[in-house]
Amino acid sequence: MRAFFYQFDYAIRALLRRKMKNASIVVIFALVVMIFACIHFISGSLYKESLTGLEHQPDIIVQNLKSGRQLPLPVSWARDLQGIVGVSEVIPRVWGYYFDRYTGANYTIMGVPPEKMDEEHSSLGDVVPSLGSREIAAGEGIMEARGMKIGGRIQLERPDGSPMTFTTVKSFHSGVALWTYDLIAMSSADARELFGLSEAEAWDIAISVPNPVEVANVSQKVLNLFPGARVVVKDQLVSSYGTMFGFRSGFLTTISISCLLAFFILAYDRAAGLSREEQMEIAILKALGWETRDVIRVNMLQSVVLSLTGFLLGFVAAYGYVYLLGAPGLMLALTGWSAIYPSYPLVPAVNVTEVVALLFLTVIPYIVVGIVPVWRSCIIDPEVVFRK
Amino acid sequence: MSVVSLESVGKVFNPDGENRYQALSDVCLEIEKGSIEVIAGPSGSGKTTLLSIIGLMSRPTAGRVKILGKETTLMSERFRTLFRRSNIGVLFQEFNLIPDLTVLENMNIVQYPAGPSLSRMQARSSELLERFRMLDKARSPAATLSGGEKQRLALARALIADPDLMLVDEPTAHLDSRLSEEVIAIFRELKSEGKTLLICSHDPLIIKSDLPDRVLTMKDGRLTCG
Repeated sequence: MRAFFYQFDYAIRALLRRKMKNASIVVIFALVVMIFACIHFISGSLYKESLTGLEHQPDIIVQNLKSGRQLPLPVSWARDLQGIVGVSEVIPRVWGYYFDRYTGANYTIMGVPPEKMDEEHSSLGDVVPSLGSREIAAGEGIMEARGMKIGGRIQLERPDGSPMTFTTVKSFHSGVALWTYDLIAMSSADARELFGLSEAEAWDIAISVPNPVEVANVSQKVLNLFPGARVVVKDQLVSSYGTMFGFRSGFLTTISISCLLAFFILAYDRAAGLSREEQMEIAILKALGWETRDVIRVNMLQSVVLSLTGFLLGFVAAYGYVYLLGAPGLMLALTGWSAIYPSYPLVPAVNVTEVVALLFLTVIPYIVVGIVPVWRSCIIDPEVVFRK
Repeated sequence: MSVVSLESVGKVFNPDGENRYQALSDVCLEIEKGSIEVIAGPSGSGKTTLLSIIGLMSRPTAGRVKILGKETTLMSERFRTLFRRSNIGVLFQEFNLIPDLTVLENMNIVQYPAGPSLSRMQARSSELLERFRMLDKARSPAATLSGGEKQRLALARALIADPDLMLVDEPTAHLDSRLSEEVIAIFRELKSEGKTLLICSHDPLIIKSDLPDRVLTMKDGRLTCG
């Protein structure tokens, strides 16, 4: 055991003797890990937020399409849909997007029917208060963007440009920031007026199906009733969010491959061989009575220290960059649409499995590739190295 | 008792390659305990290769090598290393110190694999450094030492394990005559302690001194008495 500690001490001192070279390895390693981790943190955070919000979404959403574009649908559809076996609740919804030219941001407007007020609103993870005429509850992003407080007023415009003035009665403090940050909730009547929808129209219809096995049957029956409609099942949303934020996204894949390439260049450089100075040191140690396994152990300890230091630095830097600084630059590239949405904070979502996978993908190969040249040097007679 | 026994030892570098080189041919040698043997000969004659084989740092391609009565030719690499560590001290021509390490660290690294206690390791290193008047330089990097100091440090390092057999390669090659005399005096001391020394040198100061019990000559990889 003492021999191990002496060798560990020797390994650390050897690293310190070649400060510049080893510091540059740590920096490159940390950069590769940081970029890789940043991508995972951002996409993981967005995906987690999306999934958390989707948990509260209706099982099926029915939309009216014409020429492939969404249009308002008749509220009367709801009566027909209520008749499908397996359906527990059918709610025509009034909602849409509102471009606020004062802040350059796009808000989500949600009309809340009277029967859904004063209760925990499942899709938001927060309570929507009883909202009277011209009263709203707004997300934190909007409160910040407009510099509003509770009791403050906000003016929005109808499609014809005429103003509607609302009083803010609540600010959402939801754990599902992605879903409420840019949200304005108001009564369905006010939302209809703001969007110019008639009493007989809704934007879509939310259907609840308590038995998950029945969802496919019900969605087929909806299509039978309204062949031109688009039926969006919650599972489809989950998979499409996965595609948007996951590895299949081309941008993520490109960056990930670039990172891996950089890492393999680093590893190849290491595997390619040792400097004359390093070869001499190994030959001297061998001549002084060190076994091959002692030399390899020292090299492995050095690799562990270098790669773990690089990994931890990269990981901490990525965490700080993404969750403390909000990933300036990269966030814009990953979520292009955020340019017109209010910005929202990334909620930490660190997947332990992915961290361990990243650790194994970077640290272990780095250690392994380092063994080969050391072993090759160890099996050369010291005399041959000394003569060179 | 023979400390070293070589039977028809041969060494070929790159045996199957274009630049095949026969470094040693049919070398036979017996060295008695407590003796000082000198192998003389020009550069490239095979002296260092022979020392490397006797020091178990290289394997012969022919013949048998017995050290301290043990047949080493077929020993595994691990046992050769362990055997060398405890029984053979080597003083290299180029000293082979690690220049960035301090004098004390250069001494201690020899003992690392065996894992003695820190106090024991430091005591052994300090004892030898004191003996070779290097204790005041213990914290100095080896790179900053003079040629004579490097030689004394390399000697101290070779004696760490108190080996029975010392292999010495061109010990005066980098020293002036005063320092060479000093080194010869140290070899006499070691002989008086019962150690066996095999010295490769073509320095007349060593060859013509009363130090060696026998002088052998190496030429083109062959050993002759004389």
